Amino acid sequence: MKPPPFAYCRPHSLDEALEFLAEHGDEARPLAGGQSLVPMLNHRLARPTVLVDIGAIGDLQRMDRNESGWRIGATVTQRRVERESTEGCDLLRLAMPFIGHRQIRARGTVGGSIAHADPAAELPAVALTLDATMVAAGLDGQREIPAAEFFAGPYMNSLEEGEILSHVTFPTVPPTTRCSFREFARRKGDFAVAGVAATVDFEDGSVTAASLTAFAVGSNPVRLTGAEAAVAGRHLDEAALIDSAEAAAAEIEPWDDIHGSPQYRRQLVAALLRRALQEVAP
Amino acid sequence: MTAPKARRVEPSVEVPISLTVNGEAVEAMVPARQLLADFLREELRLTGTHVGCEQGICGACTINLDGEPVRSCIMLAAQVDGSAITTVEGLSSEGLSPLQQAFKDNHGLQCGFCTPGFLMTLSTIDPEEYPGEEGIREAISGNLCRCTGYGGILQAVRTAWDRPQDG
Repeated sequence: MKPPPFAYCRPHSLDEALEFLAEHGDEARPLAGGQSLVPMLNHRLARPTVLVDIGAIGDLQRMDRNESGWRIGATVTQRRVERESTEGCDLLRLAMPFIGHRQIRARGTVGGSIAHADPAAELPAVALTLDATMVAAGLDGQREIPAAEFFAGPYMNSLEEGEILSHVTFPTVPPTTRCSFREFARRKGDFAVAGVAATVDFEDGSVTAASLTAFAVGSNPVRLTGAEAAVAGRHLDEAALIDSAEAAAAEIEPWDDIHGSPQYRRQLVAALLRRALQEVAP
Repeated sequence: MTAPKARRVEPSVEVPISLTVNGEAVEAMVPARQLLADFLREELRLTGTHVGCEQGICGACTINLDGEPVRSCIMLAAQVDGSAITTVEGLSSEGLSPLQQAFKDNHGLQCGFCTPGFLMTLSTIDPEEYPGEEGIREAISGNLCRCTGYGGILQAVRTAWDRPQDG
């Protein structure tokens, strides 16, 4: 239950961190808050020989609002997002308290959680729901990756070797957009057995746009396109709630594990989505 | 404000750190792989920080790092360069702190293994900004206690901070 040996460095610039990653190839791993990586080291599920601590890189600790949304540096902690206002990005604020416990959020980072791509994690689900943009930095420059293309399976992302997720931009939404974030876990702070994130726009009581996501039910968070279609243009009356919940339960392909059977997870997603839609309904 | 350009420091299996622990300056050369909890216990002999699950679940190793409660078993000692840490030994310079005394008086502990973690989590909350009983329950949800059933711990907080039940 102690980490295997490795070499450690703590560069002060992103370029330097990228150089270290390039020099050491797949032997090296970036270290952000360490709330997933250090337990994995303790369990020896990960055995990098070089850890590049990106926690001292000033640019990655910045959190700014620009015209497209909140641009959040990879090492901004979840606790900071929870404490500071992210106006126009309510879904992000609503999701934070579900991440582990305060002790985890104090160290855990936005970029770390998203890059780690845990199927049960909250931040990937928020990123997918809001169509967030990931900024991947490499020695040759940076590129943008839409959330829908970023997650590549359980604990897998689409970063190339030598790239670091440097920032995530979460688009802001108008004040009229309603948001809900719900999950079920056996105990406070446990990993979700199933969860749902929702942003919905209305006009005259009818849904004009809905972005609905389920997580902890498969390899990665998944947009509930069937449920979105089921509520499109409708008032969120009982019939619409039933149609969308049934569509969601039918379209997901939940996995089977000790925490819940596929059938149980379908029921959970249906129930959570129903409550989320009831919450956002005008 | 531009920081002076730091010289490139190559990855190393030994890392120099300087930090403040319980108000005292500490300088050390630590193995890169050493967990913060082990550094505190084995190098500084601050054995009040307990090591339970070593995977960030139980909260027994909680310390105060720059004002936030963190789990020292899933941090590297190398990561705390430049930080200020308080451990349970630093809660009071003499005798027990009011919260520690209240734990003692209200059956807030039995075996005591988890107690330093609870105390350190609670020490990051300003009693003047009392979050209510629900907020206290939320705050200590990241600390596991298998003896008390938590009732005594909540009573200790109420007593130390002079708050009524559910107030």
